[in-house]
Amino acid sequence: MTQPRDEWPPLDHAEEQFVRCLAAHYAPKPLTPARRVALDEALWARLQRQPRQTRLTPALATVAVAMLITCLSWSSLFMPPAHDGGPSVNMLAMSSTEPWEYDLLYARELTDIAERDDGALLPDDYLVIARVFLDK
Amino acid sequence: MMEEALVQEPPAVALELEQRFHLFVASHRERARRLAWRLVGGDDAAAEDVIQEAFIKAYRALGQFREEASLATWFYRIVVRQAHNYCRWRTVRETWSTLWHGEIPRAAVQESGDPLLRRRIAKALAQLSRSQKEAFVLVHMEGFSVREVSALMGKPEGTVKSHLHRALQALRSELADLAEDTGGNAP
Repeated sequence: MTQPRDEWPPLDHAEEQFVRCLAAHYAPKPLTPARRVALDEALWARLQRQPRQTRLTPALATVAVAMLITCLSWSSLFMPPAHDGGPSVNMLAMSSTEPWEYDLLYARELTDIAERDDGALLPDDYLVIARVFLDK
Repeated sequence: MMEEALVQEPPAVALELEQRFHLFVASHRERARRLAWRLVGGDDAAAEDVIQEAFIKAYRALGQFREEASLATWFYRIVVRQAHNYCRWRTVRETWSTLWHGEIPRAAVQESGDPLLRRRIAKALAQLSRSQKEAFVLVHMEGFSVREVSALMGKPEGTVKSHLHRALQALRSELADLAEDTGGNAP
C-alpha cells in the first residue's frame, strides 16, 4: 500500500503538530518477541481448529434437526387429541346420531341454559313409555 | 502446523499459500495490531482478538487475491469492521452489566507513557462518529492515504476528507489544552 504524500489532506503546521502528538501518545507498546510468538501460536491454533469446526457444523446441525423432527412426530403419535375446554364432539358418532338424540345428549353443553326440562326434547313414543314407568 | 488447515489444496499450492500467509502476517501484524488497538480504545487483549479474526478471514480468502495490495486493502477493511463490532458488543455488554450488577470496571489496559493523556485521547476519539473516528485513525495516526481510506471505507474521497476535517475540529476542541501546547489554536 503506497502512501504518496500528495494524497494526504493538507494540514497547517499547528494541525500537523497536534496530530503528531496524538499519534505519539495514543499508541500501544510494540510487541515483545515472546508476545509475538504467543500471538502467532494462538493464530495457528485457531486456524487449525476452524476447518474441523466448519466440517462438523453442518453434520451436527443435520443430526439435531433430524432428532427434533423425530421427537415431534413421535410425541404427536402418542398424545391424546387436543381439548380446548369446549364441548367435545365426535364427528364420526354424529353422522350416525339422530338430531333429537344429539340435542338430548348435548343440550346443556351447547346452550347457555343452566337448567332445562329434557322431557320436552324426548320423542312422543319415549314420553309415553317414560310416563308409564315414572308415574308409577 | 498449517498442513492440516490446507488439506483441500494440492501440496504445492498449499505450501505456496502457507508461505504467502506467513509473509502477509509478518508484514501486517504490527500495523494491524496498532490500528485495532486505537480503534477499540487502547485494549491490548481486544486488539489481539480483532486481528486474529481478521487474519483468519484473510487466510481463507488468500487464494482469491492474486495481488498483495488488494488483499491488504481487504484485510484492513476487515480489521476496521471487526474493531467496530467489538466496540458495539462491548457497549451492549457494559450496558447490561451496569443494569444488572451496577458499575463494573473495564479490564485493565496497558499503562505506559502518560496514561491520563491516553485516556483523554481515547475518550475524545470515542465521542466522534464511527466514520470520523475510523477516517482520523486511518489517515492521521496510521498513515493511510485518503484514496486508500476511501477504498477501505467504501466512501468517496470527498466524504473521507469531510470526516477528517470534522474529526480534527472536534478533537482540537475537546483537547484544546493539548492543541495549544503543540502550538495550535483550538477553534
